[in-house]
Amino acid sequence: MPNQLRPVQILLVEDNPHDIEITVRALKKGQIKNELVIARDGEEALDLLFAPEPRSALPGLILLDLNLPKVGGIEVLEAIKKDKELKKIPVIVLTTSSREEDVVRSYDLGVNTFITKPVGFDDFMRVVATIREYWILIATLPRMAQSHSGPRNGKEQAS
Amino acid sequence: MIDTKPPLHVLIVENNSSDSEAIAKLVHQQSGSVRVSVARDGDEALAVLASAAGRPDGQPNLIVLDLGLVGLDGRDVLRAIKADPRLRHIPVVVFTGSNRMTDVRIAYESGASTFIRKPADFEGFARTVALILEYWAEAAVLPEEETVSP
Repeated sequence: MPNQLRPVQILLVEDNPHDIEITVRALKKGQIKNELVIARDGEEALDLLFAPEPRSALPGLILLDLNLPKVGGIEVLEAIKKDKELKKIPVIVLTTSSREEDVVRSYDLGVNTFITKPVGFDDFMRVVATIREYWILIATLPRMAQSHSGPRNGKEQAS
Repeated sequence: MIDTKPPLHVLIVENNSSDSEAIAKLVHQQSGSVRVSVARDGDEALAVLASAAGRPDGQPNLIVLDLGLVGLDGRDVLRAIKADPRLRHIPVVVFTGSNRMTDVRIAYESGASTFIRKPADFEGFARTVALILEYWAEAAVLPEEETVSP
């Protein structure tokens, strides 16, 4: 049984179409009722999260690759965790990187979990299933309001 | 590149001895390689973490924290951990009986990795502990302590 009053939106930030397909498939295998939104680069993710006008609900969970075009995953993570409202959204880095400096930097910035994508298809599916069971079945996610027009990266938007 | 994961060392911060014993037992049943430490209140937890910091064999790399502690409140323990550059990289799983959304919000805002409500039934409790262990021991990558510098 999902542990939420209403299913939260899940934001997947990933540019690799193959990884998107596997991740979506593994998430949906659990017959989750959560809406999945996909951003294919860091800039698109930041635009979704820091929308200038109020729009549909913010995600309650973010899966974030680090190797992204336009704006990298570390920069996206930093922007989220420095924002007063967004920082409570759990961010799971799901990346091919296993570099210790990426792990340390991510936890220092406040990542909720760092996970290295397994190479094999079955292992990848299993890890995403574990993510799904942990965050959707047993974790309680924060309730998010509509998106806000707060400054991105701590900088004031130009008027 | 990380070739092998560091072994999991869990610090359980829990004043209810039945719960802490149950968690420790369930962890040991599932995995004999996971090390478990227990602190019965917030002051003890912070003392354990302070004395273990910098010792490669001593520091927990995962904290399971109840909010309803005697003495120093669990929320203050969480804030103290996240404010300490030697400790802030350690994931903290809040595992508590509280069902208040303000506690959920405060926990995540204060840097908790996860907020998980303790199931009231033992079967649910056991299943939840098993999932916590599977997630952190099998899926998650934790920073190697010797590479974390304040």
